[in-house]
Amino acid sequence: MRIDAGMEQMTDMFVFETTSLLEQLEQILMKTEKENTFEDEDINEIFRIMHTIKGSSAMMGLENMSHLAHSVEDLFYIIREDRDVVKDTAKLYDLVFTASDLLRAEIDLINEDVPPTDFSEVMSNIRAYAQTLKGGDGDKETSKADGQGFRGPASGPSGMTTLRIRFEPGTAMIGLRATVLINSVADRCISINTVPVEFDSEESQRQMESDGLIISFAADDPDAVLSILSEGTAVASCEELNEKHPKTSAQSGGASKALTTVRVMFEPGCKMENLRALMVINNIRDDCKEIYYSPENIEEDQSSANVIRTDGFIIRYSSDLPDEEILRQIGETPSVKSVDTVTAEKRTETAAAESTAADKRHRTEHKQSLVSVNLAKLDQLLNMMGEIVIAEAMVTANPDLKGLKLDNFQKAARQLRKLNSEMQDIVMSIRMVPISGAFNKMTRIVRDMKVKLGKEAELVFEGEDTEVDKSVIDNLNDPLMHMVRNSMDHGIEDWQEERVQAGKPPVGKIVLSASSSSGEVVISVSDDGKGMDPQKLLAKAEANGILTKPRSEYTDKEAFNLIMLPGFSTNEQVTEFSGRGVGMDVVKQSIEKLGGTVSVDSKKGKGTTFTIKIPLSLSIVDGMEVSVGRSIFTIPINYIKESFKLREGQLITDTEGKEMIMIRGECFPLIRLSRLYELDGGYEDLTEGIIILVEADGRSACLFADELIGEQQVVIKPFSQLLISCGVKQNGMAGCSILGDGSITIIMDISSILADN
Amino acid sequence: MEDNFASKGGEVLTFIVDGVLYGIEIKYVNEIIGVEQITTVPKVPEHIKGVINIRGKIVPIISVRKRFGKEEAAFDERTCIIVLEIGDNQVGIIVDRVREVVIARPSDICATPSQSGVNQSRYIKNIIEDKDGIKLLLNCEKLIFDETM
Repeated sequence: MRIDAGMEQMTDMFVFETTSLLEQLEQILMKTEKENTFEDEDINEIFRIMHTIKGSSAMMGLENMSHLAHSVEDLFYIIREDRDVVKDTAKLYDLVFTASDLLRAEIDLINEDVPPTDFSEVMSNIRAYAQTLKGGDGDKETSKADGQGFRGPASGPSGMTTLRIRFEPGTAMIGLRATVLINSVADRCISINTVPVEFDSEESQRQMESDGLIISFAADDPDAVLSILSEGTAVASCEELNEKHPKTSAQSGGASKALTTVRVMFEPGCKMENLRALMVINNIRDDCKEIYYSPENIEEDQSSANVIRTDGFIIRYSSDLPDEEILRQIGETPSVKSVDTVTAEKRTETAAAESTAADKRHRTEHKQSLVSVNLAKLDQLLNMMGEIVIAEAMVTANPDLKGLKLDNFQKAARQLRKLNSEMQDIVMSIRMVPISGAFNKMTRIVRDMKVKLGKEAELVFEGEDTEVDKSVIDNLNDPLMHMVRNSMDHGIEDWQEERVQAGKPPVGKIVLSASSSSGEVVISVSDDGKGMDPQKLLAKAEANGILTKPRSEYTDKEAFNLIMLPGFSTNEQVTEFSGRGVGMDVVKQSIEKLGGTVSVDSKKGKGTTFTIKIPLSLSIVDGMEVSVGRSIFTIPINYIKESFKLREGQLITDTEGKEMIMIRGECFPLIRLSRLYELDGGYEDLTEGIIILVEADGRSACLFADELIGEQQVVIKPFSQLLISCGVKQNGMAGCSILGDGSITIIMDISSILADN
Repeated sequence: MEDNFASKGGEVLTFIVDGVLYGIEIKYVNEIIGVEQITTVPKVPEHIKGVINIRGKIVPIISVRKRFGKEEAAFDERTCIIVLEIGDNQVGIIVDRVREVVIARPSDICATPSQSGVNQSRYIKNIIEDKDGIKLLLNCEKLIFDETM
């Protein structure tokens, strides 16, 4: 797909925004499908999302995406008008999910040089479906022709009820009462217009006194709205106007005579204001009858960007849609900072729309308090923070200072240290994102599998607010997906009868939970399905020849963990989702790449639980520095159980010369670091050096080093490709780090050392 | 890339290792620094001397002498590290001394005899011969990443 020249810089923004919109869309769909109802809010939101995608992809020159989004938008336009037209909800969800998937796939292709995908088939499906909705809709005129888009509500007033309300004569504060009245019904109405448009001015109050308040609304239950209105305080009468009151359309009619003028200001420093302005125009063009803007030549004239930057972008338009709808559309265009109406008789938003307006205001405020940042910049920031931590140590522990008594310096240094550690916390916290994003993606997977496998299961989240480093989350999606698939496919019983017989509720349950404790995040995926049979697993593993010791020596727990070995698949049948012999071993690998561990536990007939433990952050660890000869190594502190000097009689040497150390009646193998890493110059005499007891993944061993140097936070720096190709990872080294004095330490990979010895 | 250099020529940084003049295309060269303390990395091939800290970046260091199977010489004040950047990787190479930057004209560049029995030819990309004499242009990728010794 080719992006129009000049638009490349906006591609990132477009991809980011569209992806998050699609994600949002999916969440709404999942939610509504689960609750089996469409709230007005949801429909409007879907409509809005599709509208935005339509606009922005048109701006990027991605016609196919724009059209597809348009067709979905049209579909939801019909639904927004009358929710009851939707009969075949399953079909609706399928269509929208398909569209969303296609859009997403298209975005992935955005930088590839491939022709735009042809969406005409899906689009014609959607149109056909829209047609059936309209067919069911009978005489309601909603559209002129397919693909032409639909007109605003004013031109096709389907189900609009128009009322004239008269207040009791002599009512004080009539404007306020009108506001209260409208607010009381606003949430029951799909749309609501009033004459006069605003209630605060004296003129409008006089108008209400003489002509009454005219309300035109569309609602699912007009009668209920009617009764609320007629029972409102100080309402004298409430008559339904059969004939459309000429003034009802005053808002739009009036607007078309006197064009509405708005000034759009963009976020400072957002660049390419002229193109952004064009985006605004594209966004609202479809909904406007007339549209003029200044500066005019925004597409070609780069200098117009400067004008827009300083004076704002002026749009004059008339539209059938209410002003607030247009303003909202403008306001939602990326990088728009503010939209103001600048007509002489400044239009305030109608009280009727106040609730939505307040909602919108709320939303914009919310938006403005969030910034999206390129992850690379965050990585840079973190690296820089690491440098500062090192630089601080270089200054405060400078060898030149040795033996000097510098009270003031020490004081200042302490202050610096404190500020740095606070800053480090903040930098780390910036990178933290709630895990719910990763969890939410699983809903979709469960949904698809439910349909394909014909199983019933619900997905429950626990602790989805738990925050994890962004880079961890990014690497968590695949493992989570494999585990959820596994639970769905192998865990949950095939037939509901099986579940009922076992005394379980017919609908299966998969729980995704997350919690954090002492620098680790614990994530578990558990199902209440049929569980695993250790004997069956062992038999299978034996048949596949992956057992490493006699079958009888395996504990149940070890047997369960067999499923994470490569080349193990318990399902005889290969399904689309899992059971290809890859899967769980991939999970194990990717989690281990993150420095985490996976374990499985299961009870036959009760269910299976996968538990993942990963470090909160990948980049900074508390480490204990130990010296061996001239080298310095760092052992991550969370692996260290204890350290001690060897006492007489603790050392045992077996017949093969293997050394072991006896601690409180338990025997641990001894690993001499100088031999492990083939280093010269370390202590040979065990009593001279120090013994460190480490534990990882249920294995323990004693390490022998020369000396403990001290505890320090270290920033993990990955090894260069050259060193990785030399196999440093296989030799028990996880990465390196720079110490306060600028020297380099190597961070030991305790779990791999323990696994190999 | 090889053809490109051979046909167009370009700037070459020349240096001496064990009395032989070598060259390296200037586009790979990031900087030249003195030898500082090198942290050894256990269990890596002999020619990888270890890692150093260059402004917060950890850069592996290769001894060109060892790479070419020669004896290590004691470091003196002229020994230096040329920091190369190849793709995303930074690697330092220890050389006896750096000479100068010369411009190699296409007419000066000859191909290596492919059946040369010389042990070094594996790492040599081209031979540059100009009025100053012969320089062996090194193939950086092979020098650093080629596993076979």
